[in-house]
Amino acid sequence: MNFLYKLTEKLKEYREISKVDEIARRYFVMNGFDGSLTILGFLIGFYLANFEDPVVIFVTGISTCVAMGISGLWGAYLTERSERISDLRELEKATISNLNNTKIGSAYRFATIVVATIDAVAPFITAIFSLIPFLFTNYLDIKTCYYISFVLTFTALFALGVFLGRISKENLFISGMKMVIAGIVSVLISTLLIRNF
Amino acid sequence: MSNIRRLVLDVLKPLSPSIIELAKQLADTQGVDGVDVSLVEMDTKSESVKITCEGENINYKEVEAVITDNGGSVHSVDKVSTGSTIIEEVPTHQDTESTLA
Repeated sequence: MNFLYKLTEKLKEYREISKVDEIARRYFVMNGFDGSLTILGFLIGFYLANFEDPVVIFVTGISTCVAMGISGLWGAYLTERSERISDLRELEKATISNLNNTKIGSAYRFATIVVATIDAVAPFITAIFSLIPFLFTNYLDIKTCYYISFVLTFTALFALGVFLGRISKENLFISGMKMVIAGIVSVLISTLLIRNF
Repeated sequence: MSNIRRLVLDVLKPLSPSIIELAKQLADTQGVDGVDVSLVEMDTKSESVKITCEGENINYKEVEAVITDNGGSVHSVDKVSTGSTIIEEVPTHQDTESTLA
């Protein structure tokens, strides 16, 4: 218990020093939004092409989720690491000391890992959420799976908007709808493109 | 060897962790009973602070380690009080004359 308490305190301190919460929140929403919209486009494509093999849809969807997760992990890790190293060097110049082996150095390394993990997990979660109905094709027909999947995707988009609304203390419904509109725009453009193909 | 009872340090540190956090950590150091941290000068990324520690038996190395671990560096040790009681600095004629001048 004492070890857990110490660990929690240390992580809390690292969060405060690196100010990781704000960045992590931003990355979570941005990449969660990316995940939802990508999978929405992917599902619209399959739906309009009258594709009816749930296994292929699910497996392709999962590999898209994995690719988005890996892309998020690598991209965010390398970007955040470079930014943090640059910040640390500037701080070292200001304080005329080596900060690598201090709490600040550790907090910055902690922030890089947290941000990379969130960047990987966020699109993975939101995208996989939309694919859940395709696991139940034994009980539901494929069209119903598509419709439930669209509803889940728009729900995820709305939830992300609500999350942003809570941060900015704005009207939650309006904030949620702003995200949903992005999804509708994406569906309309995809439909127009596919219909005229 | 006699104990260090009061220590005044001039420290340059990053803005984060804050002086509140630093003061709390210094107060948790063995042999330190009380801590005062005052802001002397503030820059965009760093700040100069004056740290005063009082206690029965201050371990300077531990105090310095806490400061270093928080990204700070001790610029100078401005005052040390040792022995069984704390002796305050006594004003002399020269001090009085310079004050009057």
